[in-house]
Amino acid sequence: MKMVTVIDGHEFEFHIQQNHQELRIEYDGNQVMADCVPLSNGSFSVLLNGKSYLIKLYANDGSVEVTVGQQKQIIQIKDETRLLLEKYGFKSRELNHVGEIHVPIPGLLTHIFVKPGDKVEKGEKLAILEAMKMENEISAPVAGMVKKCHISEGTAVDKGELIMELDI
Amino acid sequence: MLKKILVANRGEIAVRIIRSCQEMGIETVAVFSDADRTALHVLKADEAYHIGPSPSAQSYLNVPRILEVISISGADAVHPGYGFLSENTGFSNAVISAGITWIGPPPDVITTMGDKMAARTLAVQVGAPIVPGTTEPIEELAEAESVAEKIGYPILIKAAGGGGGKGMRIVHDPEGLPSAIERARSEAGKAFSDSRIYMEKYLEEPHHVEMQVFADQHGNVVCFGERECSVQRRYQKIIEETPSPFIDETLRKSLQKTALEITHACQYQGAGTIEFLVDKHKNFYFLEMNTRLQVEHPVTEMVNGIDLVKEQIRVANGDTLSVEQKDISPTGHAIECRIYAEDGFHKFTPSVGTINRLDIPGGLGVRFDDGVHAGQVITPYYDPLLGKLITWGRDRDEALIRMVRALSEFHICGIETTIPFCLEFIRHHSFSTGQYCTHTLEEIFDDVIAGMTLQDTDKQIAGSIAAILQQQKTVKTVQAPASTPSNWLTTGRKENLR
Repeated sequence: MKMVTVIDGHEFEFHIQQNHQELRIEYDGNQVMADCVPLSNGSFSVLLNGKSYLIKLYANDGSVEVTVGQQKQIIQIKDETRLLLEKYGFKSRELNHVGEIHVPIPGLLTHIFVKPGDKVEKGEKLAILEAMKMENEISAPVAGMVKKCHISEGTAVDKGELIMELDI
Repeated sequence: MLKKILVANRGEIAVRIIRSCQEMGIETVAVFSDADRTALHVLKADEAYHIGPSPSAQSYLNVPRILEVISISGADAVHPGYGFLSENTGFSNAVISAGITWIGPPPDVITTMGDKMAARTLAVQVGAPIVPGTTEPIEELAEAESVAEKIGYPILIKAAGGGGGKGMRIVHDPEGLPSAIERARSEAGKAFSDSRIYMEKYLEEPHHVEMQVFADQHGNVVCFGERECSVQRRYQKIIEETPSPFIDETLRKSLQKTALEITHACQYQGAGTIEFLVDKHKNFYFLEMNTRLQVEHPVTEMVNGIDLVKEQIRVANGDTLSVEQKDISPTGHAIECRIYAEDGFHKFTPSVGTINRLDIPGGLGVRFDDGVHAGQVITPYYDPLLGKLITWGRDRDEALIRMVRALSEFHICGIETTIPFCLEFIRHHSFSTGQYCTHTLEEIFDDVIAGMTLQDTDKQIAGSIAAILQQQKTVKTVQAPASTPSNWLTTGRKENLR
């Protein structure tokens, strides 16, 4: 089976074969010796050609946030079906979700600075969430236009709730 | 001697205090809210009592209930830690009236030094330099304009009744003054129910340097040297070290002399910290006094080989300080990184969740003052400090490389922490060469974030493989170790077969 991962614009192609217990991974035409053992929910010890890595994974809407040591990056994983769909011009599923602004931690939404129809730049302040005795800024992950606000100012919110949607 | 101390706090500082008590043979009483039933301080203390619902206003700030627990538990002393009730004179007075020992300075000293205006006035009386500005609150705009003209722009507007950056505004020119005063007043009024503000000169490349002082009830006062606390986000410290790479011996002596004079003048007792601002020309100014143990006290302990909590308990008990000024001579270098449940990638947004794995660094010269354990749920109710990592080395280079090593082996899974940020920050040349001030974090923030991003190809491949294998669910599961059969079990089973 062919798998492609995309990190920071770089594509890595892997070929994976599984015969019963044995797992064979090929990268760049070379056989890779990989041994991956979970340590806890979301953390793994990976031995790769003898090198030891501690890896944390956090799956998020079709992409995976990966931490190796103390450094982090977002990985997109594409299997053969996905690669085929993309080849024929279908948009990646997660792109449709990028404009959704969710509550990162439970708290009180004290301010909303934008209204539907407003154009926002990447990084622009959208709202203030008060939690852990602090005012936390929620900023736009991408440039776009505010499509809809789902929550009004002064509302107590739970983690994961949809605050607003941006058209990108 | 004190027999049982109630620790009116939670998290790492409660654990830290409990440890010193245990070494002194003193029993400990923990208090906890709904959210903290299984928190580390509850597990470590000899006794623990529930004091209310999770919000701190109803639990850790619930004075009547804490006084009740003091009485129920039979504690003969109270240690407030830092934050919460540590600078609350209503609480300290109530404790003292109940005939219980208060481990902290007398309430009237807390009142005087807790009011920034009163503290500045006292500092001026002993001849300590203060940042040019007003000693009285600003009432009229016209007055503000003339003061600003006199001390020169840029100026800083600050709240009289608080800290933490609330009500603070930098003003670069006369045009910006009226609106800045308006906003500072409203912010200060909301945050501290005190809208008084004062103005001072805004310093160039300022350093935040503080001196650890200690006084007993017999008039002995000592100074344990400085702490450099210029690495701050949102005006809150995150990395501290001692000695300061910026301070020379002459300046150190002046700071110490001033700190001791202020401590004497306010008739201080117990552990205190005198905070100074030092500008790039090495002019220093008294900022404020903190009438409690500071979060960053461990760096002072590491280079002085002293336990400041034990010293606080001795002083509260009426004993003399265990050291004299002539005996104090710091050895080596110590650095502290505060480990917060905050996401360094996203402007230090608090992170909540369950800690499902905790690999604490160890080895020579590494200390972790922990406040959490694996399995603990981090809630949004309290300060997100998980613990403090401190390293000691014979010199700054050794303490620094040891901190890099310790942070690299420190893994907390399940929540975001400031570990990656601290690691990249201390590796940045600004910190590693000791050339930093309170503006540095903001200036190098983008460099630090870039360093926190996974760029090494081998590591990207390792990460990819882990992600693919997890997605394919082909990852081997950890097998429980085969247990050695117990003779009791075997015999029991055999017996059951008969």
